[in-house]
Amino acid sequence: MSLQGTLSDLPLIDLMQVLTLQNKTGILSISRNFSQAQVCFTKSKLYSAYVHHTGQKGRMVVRQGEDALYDLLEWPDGQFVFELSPAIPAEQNVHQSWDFIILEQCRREDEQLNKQQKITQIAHLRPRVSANPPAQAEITLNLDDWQVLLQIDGRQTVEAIANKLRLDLNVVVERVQKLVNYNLVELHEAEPAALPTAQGREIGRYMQVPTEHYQSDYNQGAYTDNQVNYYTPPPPPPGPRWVGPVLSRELVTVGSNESQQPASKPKVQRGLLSGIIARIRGL
Amino acid sequence: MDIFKIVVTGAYSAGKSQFIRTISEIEVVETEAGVSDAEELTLKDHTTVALDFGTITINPEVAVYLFGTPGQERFDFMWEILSVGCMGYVVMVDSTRPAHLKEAVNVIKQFSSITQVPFVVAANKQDDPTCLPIEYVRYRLGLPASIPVIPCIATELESVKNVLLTLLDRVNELSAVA
Repeated sequence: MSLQGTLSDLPLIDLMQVLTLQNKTGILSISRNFSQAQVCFTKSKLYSAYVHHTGQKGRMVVRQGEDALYDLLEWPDGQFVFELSPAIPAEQNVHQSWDFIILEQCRREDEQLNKQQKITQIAHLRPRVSANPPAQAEITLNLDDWQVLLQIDGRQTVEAIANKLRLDLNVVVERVQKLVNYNLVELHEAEPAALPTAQGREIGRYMQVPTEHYQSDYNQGAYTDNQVNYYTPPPPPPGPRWVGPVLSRELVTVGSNESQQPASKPKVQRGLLSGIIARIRGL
Repeated sequence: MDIFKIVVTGAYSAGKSQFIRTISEIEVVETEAGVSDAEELTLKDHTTVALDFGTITINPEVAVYLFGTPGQERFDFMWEILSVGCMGYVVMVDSTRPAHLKEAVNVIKQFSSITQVPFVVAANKQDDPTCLPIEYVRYRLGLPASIPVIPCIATELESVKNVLLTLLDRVNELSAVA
């Protein structure tokens, strides 16, 4: 038995659903541009998965196990062939079911969406030195944190700071959040009426900075976070779990006909509708 | 004669044909063909290629027509044709297949762009012990609480009636009533 086609015709989700329903042992091979994937089944159960990339240095495995499957779910197209084969690789590296993989992928997508929304939200806020700095005298920041902290003046948005430092917005948001968790920085929408007297540089008054590590090592690219003993504040209390919709609000609103386009609403005679309801109820 | 049209849509193998078959008074007009793809054969051996059609007679002057859309995306050109003039639609979802929920999101998205009428979601196969809970189905579909997601067993008349009555209530609530 051999089954072949393209993912644009038969999406991977459908294809895997079918293959996991059959009692077959075989290998599903998928190729796309310079990448190839192999998913092995034993009696319809996922057994192993690999994603290879063929480049100038030859063919190398870039993902394996569940990670390979998560990677595969991102492929919008590709050619696939499923062949029955009693000989499959000896090493099992997939231990979850396909349904689990799908659910986990959905969860990851949601998390990513959640993260992006948070980043967009924070990007437009203006970090300001906290009016009530932490009492601990042992907070230690690394050079990367300082880089951001020194830019904080209450006027610039997080996005502006990222642009100024020529850093990725996600990275700067992450650092700002860390400073917020330390209670060193607060986030505000508006600019302060008057600039705070303590700007980022003055935070050093109550912080210990491991300057002995910094300059030479950092310049040589040898600096790592491991060289600094961090003060680890207690984790922030868990907030409400975000359960944002997959569909946009506009779509749901339009689809549910709750507010828009009254002209397109169907005209239904009240008496007839009641009659239909009564009839169906009596079936 | 006044005709009211309800469309039953959803992704492949969600139970649309069975839903109509359960409640229709007439022998359902089906346009089914044998499944040719080996992979789809594992889900079912016949599939709707144009439409399913069933009726519920209200009185000699009024009838409800039920149209089932084909589930396979290659026949989605039929969706627009079938949705013309419908008073509402039911989105069938196979709640035993998590992978199916992603397809259902696409169906809702497409149908919402075709027609503005109210809809409800029927989470089918709720008699299967492996079915996903209703709230999880709602969550995965990204639907607000205002859109009903109803547990459904397409082979049971009471369950199908419940779905249709919920849809009609929603039509009653949201549509312009003359």
